[in-house]
Amino acid sequence: MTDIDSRALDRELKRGSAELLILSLLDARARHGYDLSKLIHSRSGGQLSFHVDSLYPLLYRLEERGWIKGTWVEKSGERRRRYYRVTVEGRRVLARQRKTWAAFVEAVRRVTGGEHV
Amino acid sequence: MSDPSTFREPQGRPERVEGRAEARSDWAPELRARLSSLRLVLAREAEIIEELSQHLDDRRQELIAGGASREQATRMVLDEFHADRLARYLAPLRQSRLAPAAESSSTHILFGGLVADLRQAVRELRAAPGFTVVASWCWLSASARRRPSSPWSTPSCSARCRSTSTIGWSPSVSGARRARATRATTLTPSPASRPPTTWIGWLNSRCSSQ
Repeated sequence: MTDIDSRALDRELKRGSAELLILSLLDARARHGYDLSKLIHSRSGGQLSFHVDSLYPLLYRLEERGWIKGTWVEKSGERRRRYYRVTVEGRRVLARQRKTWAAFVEAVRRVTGGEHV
Repeated sequence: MSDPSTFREPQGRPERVEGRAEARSDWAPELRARLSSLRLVLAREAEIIEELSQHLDDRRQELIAGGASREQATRMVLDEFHADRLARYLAPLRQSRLAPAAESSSTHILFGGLVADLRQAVRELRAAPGFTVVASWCWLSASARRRPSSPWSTPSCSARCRSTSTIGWSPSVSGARRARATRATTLTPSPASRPPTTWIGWLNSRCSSQ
């Protein structure tokens, strides 16, 4: 696969899994945007990174759908931050997306590893 | 974002804008310029700028902590940030289409304001029905008292209307009647009896005669 193909696949995979990544990270606890960006980068071993231009439009889209909810939180001596948490509807969507993703990964594994089985 | 070489650190006091920390942010002017193509409500735009500025600040701090100078860190943050993509990704969102489209027509602004004022007036009258009834009654009774003496409605006023029209604008006289009036020379009264030419003039004459 050429470098361009590889990058296009990366982009498509990232696009397809972006909502799942965000919802999964917010499932455990409320986080702000920068925290999410750092976590995705570190937990993916640097393979995935979300910058401002892609992360926030995604957060706002999920918020408009009612899957997450952002709230400004003020702490003394700090600038206020907008924390996001998953809503009830968001949890339902997350459960569905986890199942779909697992099925997809399993299907890909079967196809790509088929010759060696 | 735009070419990092053209980005300037702010000098002195930042511009005061709606929002909180946004006012302290040096990213705000650039972000605002990028978001200007969207129809965000002003308060929402300020929130987005505040949130994104904070993210960019955090990223710069992280790079500085990693050994970069402030200028280097700023340049690196700008390299990572593709502001044109930001506007493109935000454009399909509902919140990006909420604010009314900017109108260049002053007529639209004038009548838009008038409609808003009328709506507000109706809301307030609905909220105070007692006041509305009393005010309506006062206005109707005052109108009924004045009607017979109006210079435009009495039989004798038609001549005055025509003569008035030869002088200038009169609110109740149509263009066709004005044209006829310019031909009606026999009815022109003497200057002493000439009626006022506008409603304001008529009101003044009414006030002074009482």
